[in-house]
Amino acid sequence: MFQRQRIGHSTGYLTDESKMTGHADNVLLPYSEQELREILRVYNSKGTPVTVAAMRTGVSGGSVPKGGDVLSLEHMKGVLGVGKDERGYFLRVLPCTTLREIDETLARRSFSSLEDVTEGACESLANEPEAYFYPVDPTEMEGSIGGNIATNASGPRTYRYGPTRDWIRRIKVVMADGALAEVVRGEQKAEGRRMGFAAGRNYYSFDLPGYDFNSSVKNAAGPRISEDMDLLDLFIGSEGIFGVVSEADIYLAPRHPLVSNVLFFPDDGSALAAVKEIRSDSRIDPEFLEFMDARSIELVRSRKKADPLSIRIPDLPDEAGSALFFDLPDDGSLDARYAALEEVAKRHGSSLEASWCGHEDSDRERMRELRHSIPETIFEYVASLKGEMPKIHKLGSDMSVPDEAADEMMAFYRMKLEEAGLEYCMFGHIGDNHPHVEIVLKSMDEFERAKAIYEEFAAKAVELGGSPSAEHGIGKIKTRYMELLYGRKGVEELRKVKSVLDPNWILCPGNLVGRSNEISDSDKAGAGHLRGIRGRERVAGEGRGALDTGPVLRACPDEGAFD
Amino acid sequence: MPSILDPYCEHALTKVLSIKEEGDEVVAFTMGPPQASEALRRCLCLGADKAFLLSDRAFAGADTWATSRAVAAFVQRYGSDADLVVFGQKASDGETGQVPFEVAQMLSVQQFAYVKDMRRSGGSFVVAQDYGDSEVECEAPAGSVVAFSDVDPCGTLMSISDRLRGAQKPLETIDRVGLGLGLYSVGLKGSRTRIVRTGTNDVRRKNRKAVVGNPSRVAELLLEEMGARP
Repeated sequence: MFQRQRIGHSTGYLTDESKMTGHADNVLLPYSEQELREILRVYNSKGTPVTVAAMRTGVSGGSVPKGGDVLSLEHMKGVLGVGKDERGYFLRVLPCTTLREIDETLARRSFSSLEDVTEGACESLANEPEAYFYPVDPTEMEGSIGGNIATNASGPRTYRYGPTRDWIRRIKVVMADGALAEVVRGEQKAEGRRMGFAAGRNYYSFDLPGYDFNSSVKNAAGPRISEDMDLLDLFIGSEGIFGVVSEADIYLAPRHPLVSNVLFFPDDGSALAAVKEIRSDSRIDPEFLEFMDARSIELVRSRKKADPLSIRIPDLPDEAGSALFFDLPDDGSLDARYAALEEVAKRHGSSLEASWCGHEDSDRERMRELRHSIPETIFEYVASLKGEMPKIHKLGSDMSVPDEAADEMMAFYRMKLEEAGLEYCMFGHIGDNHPHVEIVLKSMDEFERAKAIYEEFAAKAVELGGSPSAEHGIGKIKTRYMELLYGRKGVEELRKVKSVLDPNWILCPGNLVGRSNEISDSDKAGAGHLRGIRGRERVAGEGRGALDTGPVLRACPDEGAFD
Repeated sequence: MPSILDPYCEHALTKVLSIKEEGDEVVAFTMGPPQASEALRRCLCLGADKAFLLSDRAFAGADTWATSRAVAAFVQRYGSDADLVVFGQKASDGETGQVPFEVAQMLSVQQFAYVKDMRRSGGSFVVAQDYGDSEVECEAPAGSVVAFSDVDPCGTLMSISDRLRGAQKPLETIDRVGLGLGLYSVGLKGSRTRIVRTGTNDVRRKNRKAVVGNPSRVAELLLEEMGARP
């Protein structure tokens, strides 16, 4: 038995933060793992596709449906328990638990209402002298842990802590036919390129793709495929095409006090030169390293001028021409870190006078606002153009490259954008050689030119050994990059894996790889809008039968178990 | 609850620092438990020259009257030659807004409330008061109490250099004996009001959520909830 509601027009279930619009008939709302399994069993038997969604905060269209129904996990949320193993503490959570809920649960430091996954873990964690936290910070605190796992989400703190993948201990996955698999890191590994695992009565056995996932850079382009890979890594980053995560264990780390800092530089070149030194100076060792270029600084100034309270920070110093943002541990080593930082700052036209630092939570929060204000401002600007140009959407780069290629990539960005006469700003995760380049669009003509340039950026990033999708995932917007990264053969091999795990191709159609006879959305012009192509993606067995009878109903499938 | 420099006081301090000249000395002080020294350290980082923490177990439970008495004693002993005694008009937690004016009364000095700005004029200070329907500018005589009634929503952010300099500046603790006050003049014993309880309001809604699959069970639950069944 499960709940299904008909989707009306203009509903949030048809879109996510990518602002793509899809189409679907119904939304399915499981309240439990059992209901989730029933849904998939029924839909698999009919061959009706489902697109998995949770908080819909993704920016690559992964939860935007391309027909069939939306499978929204919004009722499967909450922290279930606490455990401890040889690596440390972990939380057991349901898939739609948001990062904010996880953060708040840990901040309360009272776990008596939770289950002890291992004996005495709740009390033990509550009695730890220091607080614990989940260190992956993909900026969007309302994002769900299931979505984070599906996209292997990362963010500024990836610089120190790595992406989501590094913090997942175990997941439960409901396969396309409703069978359940429990996957624990280290317990099931491939033999070379041959993977096999059991889920209920099923046993899946298949060849892995021949390519190696690029782990040397920040990379969110599909699962981490490699020889002898862990089965867990097949599901993390697979964007829901192999199975639906119904429960997860996430590792925690001790939270140490931090001080946030902004160091201002006279120009972009000085800041970028300082990045290399800060990164290589073990005396400084920041938690992350973020960049704001001259145009970003101007954007903040303009926004403050138009509305002084829009960002709760003092006016930026007049001499600020660019800035680096970073956190440092607020402990006994801080003075020594600052001394080393001062040497670097002086060598690049800055000083510790030209800086801000925040030790108190309120100051740190305001500095975080500053950092987030740049993409927000761009987003609001593009949204304001939608009335005039409905097909326009935000264009932000998501490419990362190895350290040695960082200069070449930055020069390439500038050359191409200046050649095209486009206004842009550059900000973000410079510590991982992953700045976001946002184009300030003014017309559809500029939009089309910008899209073409982004293709060149992606190709260049791959040529330099990087990734065209460092943290936003592939979703439906960037599927063409899969072939760029892994070649036609690699993509075809991934499709074969999909065909084994989801023979009817019902799970998240259009994410990562389409069926070989499909035209991927991102290959189409106007990738931001999916209407008008429905029907093409439908797989066999579209019949709705008795289930399709009203706006709200609870369906009771046959009792027979398949696994 | 974190111990912070009150936004009203921070705003008052930044206004004072904005008109500070060579040779001026800005002294920050507060009465509170030892952890209040963090707020004073922030004052030093923002530009105050030295700071005093009025701290003693006997100060515990002080109402605004007993607090004002301790503060007035401090000003008499350590700041009798001060040009101005500047306050944030109220604390953002207690919101009483009484201490500056009780201190002014105890010191028998002029008081200026609802101050939104301050400037120098020759050798003296001119304060701008905002009464909502009218604004007044007055020259503040030496030793006056000035209470700023605004906060700056964009606040202040110190530089790393400020922070490093602030860490080196002197912060002294003064106890009841140092202020020359008797046991019955301070804390709970010196208070004219008694605080019965302090706490934060829990405004979270206490809805219950029941997830059941069987409609007849749902109906039963609803009936139970409405008291239709025992």
